[in-house]
Amino acid sequence: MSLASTIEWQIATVRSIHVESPRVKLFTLELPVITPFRSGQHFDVRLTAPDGYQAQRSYSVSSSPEPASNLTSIEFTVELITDGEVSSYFHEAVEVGDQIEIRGPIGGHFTWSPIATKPVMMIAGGSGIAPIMSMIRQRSNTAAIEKSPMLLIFSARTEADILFATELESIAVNDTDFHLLVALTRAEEVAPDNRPFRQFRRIDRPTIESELSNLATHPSSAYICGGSSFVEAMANHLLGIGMPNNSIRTERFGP
Amino acid sequence: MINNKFFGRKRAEPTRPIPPGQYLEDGFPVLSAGPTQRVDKATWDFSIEIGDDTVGTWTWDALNALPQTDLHTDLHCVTKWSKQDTDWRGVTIDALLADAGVQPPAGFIMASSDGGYTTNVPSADVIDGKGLLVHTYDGEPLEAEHGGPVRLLIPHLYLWKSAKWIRSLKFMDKDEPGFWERYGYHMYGDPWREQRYTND
Repeated sequence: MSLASTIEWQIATVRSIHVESPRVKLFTLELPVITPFRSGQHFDVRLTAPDGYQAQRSYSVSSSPEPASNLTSIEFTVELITDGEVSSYFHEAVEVGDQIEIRGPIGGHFTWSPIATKPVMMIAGGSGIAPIMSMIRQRSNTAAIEKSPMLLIFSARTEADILFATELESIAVNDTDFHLLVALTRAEEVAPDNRPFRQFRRIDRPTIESELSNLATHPSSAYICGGSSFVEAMANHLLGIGMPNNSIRTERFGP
Repeated sequence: MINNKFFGRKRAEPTRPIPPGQYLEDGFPVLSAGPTQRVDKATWDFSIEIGDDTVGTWTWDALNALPQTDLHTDLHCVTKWSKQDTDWRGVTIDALLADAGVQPPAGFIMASSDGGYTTNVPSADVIDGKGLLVHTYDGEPLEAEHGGPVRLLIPHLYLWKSAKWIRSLKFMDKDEPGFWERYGYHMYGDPWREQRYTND
């Protein structure tokens, strides 16, 4: 791995804004230069107020890193955080055409490569889907003949809070090696046939065991992303069912 | 560049200045690359190695029998949060080296933890009271999520250098990258010089 280069700040231009859920917007940012990145990596954002005050935050890329040769933009998945000075700027002030300083890609542990064809399990809570969405999209648009089986268990509060719902369901319907379960924690139960890929309770150990029993081969690695307490609980479930410590990668946000 | 529509949220004034690019956090976020390690104090031990020689090993009881140091300090995480006025109790690396009867070697150290985590710092940054093994936070036993029962604490560097679930320090002649350093994080990690990533 090259450790030679500095990660320079660049000026990105907002090319589109999409309201993905009541609390999440997607921002497509066009960059002068995109260093090839791995799914799961993040970029840093730096905002500077007219009085010189600066704030920085990290955002995972939710778009696919491929095809790397003609990428001109990346997508950020930004959840509005109560009292969040950067997320509220994105949600309330940013318009198409605005410019924002960013640098990246950053990070290398919470990353996935389609070269790995071993089965993999993803567990996401809320906007923790962002880096995992990049992995799922990369898997979907890779040219590999043999795609790694992938299981996604995705926790959301209500139907309206499910990010990328249509896209995920479409992949799950069309790709027999992609398994999806959405766990809605605050939704009224509806008949299962009305809404495929759903359960109406939080993710617990039986949820995980049941999903794994549908797979021909058990995943050899797992990625968990979400709020701190969610990730802690999920990692403990995976250790509890016997997954080795070093097969579990986590990314946590929030206090 | 200036973001004309950005004004920032007026936050509580820091007790002391915080490093560039950081914001004040009241909570204590948990950021770990893998599951929280569950370490049994009954079987835990800690070693100091110089090159290939183990010069000292301490059990939980042995660590607690050494002179204890209280530290009031600020924390700075590379993920941009800073937390001021935290209180820790533990044992300085100086006290461990003295107990082992060895002089602190020049060069660098690699800290290693349960779960496979590693991080590197210059030796000079853990001696003269700058580095501690801490077991108590805010008067309570350090929780596993925050690195308990025992973590390294080097508060003048970004917090990833303060390895959770610490098990050994190895003194080395040459600097080598640890876990995050191999992924492009800074070899030194001074928050005041904003050394987040390689070559910052």
